[in-house]
Amino acid sequence: MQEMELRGLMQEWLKRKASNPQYEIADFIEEEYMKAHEAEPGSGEEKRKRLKAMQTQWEVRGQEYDEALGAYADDPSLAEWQAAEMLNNVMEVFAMPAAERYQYLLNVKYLVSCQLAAGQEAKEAEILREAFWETYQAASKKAMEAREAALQELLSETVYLMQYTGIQYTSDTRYILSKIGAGQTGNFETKPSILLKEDIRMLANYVTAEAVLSSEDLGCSRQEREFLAAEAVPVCVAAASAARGGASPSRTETLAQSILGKLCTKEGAAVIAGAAAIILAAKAVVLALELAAAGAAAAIGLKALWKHCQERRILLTESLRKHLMPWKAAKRAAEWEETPTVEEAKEYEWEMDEMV
Amino acid sequence: MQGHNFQFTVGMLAELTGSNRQYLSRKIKRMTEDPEIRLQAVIRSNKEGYRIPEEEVLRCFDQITPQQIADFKEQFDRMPRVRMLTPEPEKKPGRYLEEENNELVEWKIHLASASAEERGSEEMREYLEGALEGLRKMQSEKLREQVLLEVFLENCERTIQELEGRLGEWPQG
Repeated sequence: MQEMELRGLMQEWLKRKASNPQYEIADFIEEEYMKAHEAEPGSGEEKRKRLKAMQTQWEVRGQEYDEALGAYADDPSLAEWQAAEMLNNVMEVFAMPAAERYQYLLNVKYLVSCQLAAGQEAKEAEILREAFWETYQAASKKAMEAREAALQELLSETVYLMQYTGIQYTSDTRYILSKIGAGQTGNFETKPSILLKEDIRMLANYVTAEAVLSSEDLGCSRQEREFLAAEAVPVCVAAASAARGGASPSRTETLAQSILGKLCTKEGAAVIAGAAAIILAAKAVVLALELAAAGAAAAIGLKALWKHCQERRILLTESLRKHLMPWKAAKRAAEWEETPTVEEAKEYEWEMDEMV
Repeated sequence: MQGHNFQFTVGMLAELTGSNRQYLSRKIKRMTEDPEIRLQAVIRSNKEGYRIPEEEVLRCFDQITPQQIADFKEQFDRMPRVRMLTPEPEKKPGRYLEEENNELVEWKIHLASASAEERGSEEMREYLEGALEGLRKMQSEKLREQVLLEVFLENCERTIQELEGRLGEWPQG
C-alpha cells in the first residue's frame, strides 16, 4: 500500500476548496486516485471507470444507510438566503456604492477562506495566507470597475464559502459581518457544515477503500476486496460519520452491522472479518479527517492506522487523544472511543506513540 | 437608501484648490445664480455656509479632477468604511479624531448586525434615537472646538507676524 498521510490529504483538499469554491470533492478524489494508481497496469480510462463504479456504490450505500438511520433530518448549516440576507443587510445599511460592495465581499471572502484553511501548522498557514493574500490583492485592484454581473458572482461565491466553512446564522456572525463593513476584521464562530461533512465522507470512503484494496494480507481475494471497498466501506463510513454527528454510537454501529450482515451473507469468513476491521477503520479515518479539518497537529499515516484496525487494535487511549485533538474536538469525540481493558491499554501504549 | 455622499464645505474646497475662502464663497454664490451653471449648493445656516455635493464640485469646477477628490478624501476623511485590508493589522498610533469617527459608524454596525425583526423593533428605534442625540451633542462640542481652533489659528498668525516683524528689524552684523 502506498502511504497516505491523512492530515495532509484533508488539508490539501481544504486549501484547494478555499482557493476555488467550485472545485468538487469527486474531482479531487479522482486526481488523488489516478496519482496513487499511476504505476499499475491498465489504461487511465479503465482506472477512471473502476473508480466511478465504486463512487456510485458509495453514494447508493451511504444513502441507504442514512435513510435507515433517519440521519440528516435537520440541516443546521447556513441557508443560502440567510447568508445573502446578512451580507446584503450590511451593504444596504452602509449604503455602499458598487466598488465598495465589491471590496466588502472580497474582504469577507478573504477572511472566510483564511478561516477555512486555518489551523494548519504555522509554516503552512503562513504560505497559504500569502497565496490567498495575493489573489485577494489582485482582485481588489478590480474593485473600482466592478459591474453588477461580477458583483453577483462574487456574492454567490462568498455565500457558498460561508456555508461550506460552517458559519452560523447568529447575532455574532452578523456583528462580525457588519464590523467588516466598517473596515475592521474578525473571526467567525464555525461548526462543521453538512457540505463539509459530506466531502469528508467522500474522502473517508476513498481513503478507507484504498486501505482495503491494497491490503493483501487481509486473507481475501482481489474480488472480495473490491466488493468490500465498494459495498462495505460506505456503510461503515456513513455509520462513523453519523456517530460523529451526534447519533447514538451503539445505534449507528448496530445498524451498520445489520446492513453488513445482509450484504455479506454469501461471502466467506475472511470477508466478514474484513468488514469488522472496516468498521473500526472508518471510525478512525472519519475522526482523523475531521480532526485534520479542525486543525489537529498530528500527522496520521493510513498504513499504521489500517494495521491496527486489522488487529482490532484501534484504541483511543487518553495519551493518543491528547496527541491528536484540540480540546474542543476531544470533548465531542469522547462518545465513541473504544474502551480498552487495562491489559490491552498497557500492551499497546508504545505502539500508539509510534503511530502518532 | 441614501448613501454617505460626500459634501464639500467652502473650507474644504479652499484646502483642495488652494484659494481664498471669501473669494470662493462669492464665486459659489455667483455659480448658483448663473442660469447656465446652476450649481446645486445648500446653505443650512449663515453660520455654517455652503454644502456642495461631490458630483457638483466635479461638474462645475473644471480644474478639479476625480483623482484630486479621491486624494483629498484619503487624506482627510477618517470615517471608517470598507477598504482593502492591510496585511498585518499593525498597531497604529491613535489618529486625530479616531474615536469620534468610530462613533459615526457605531450605529450602522449595530443596525447592520440586527436580524429582520430586531431592525424594525421599538428597541432599535430607541437605540437610534439615543445615537442621534449623542451625535448631535458631539457635533455641537466640535463646533465649539472649531471656534476655539479658529481663535487659536488667528492668534498663531498674529504671533508669527509679530516674530517676523521683530526678526525683520533685527540690527545687521
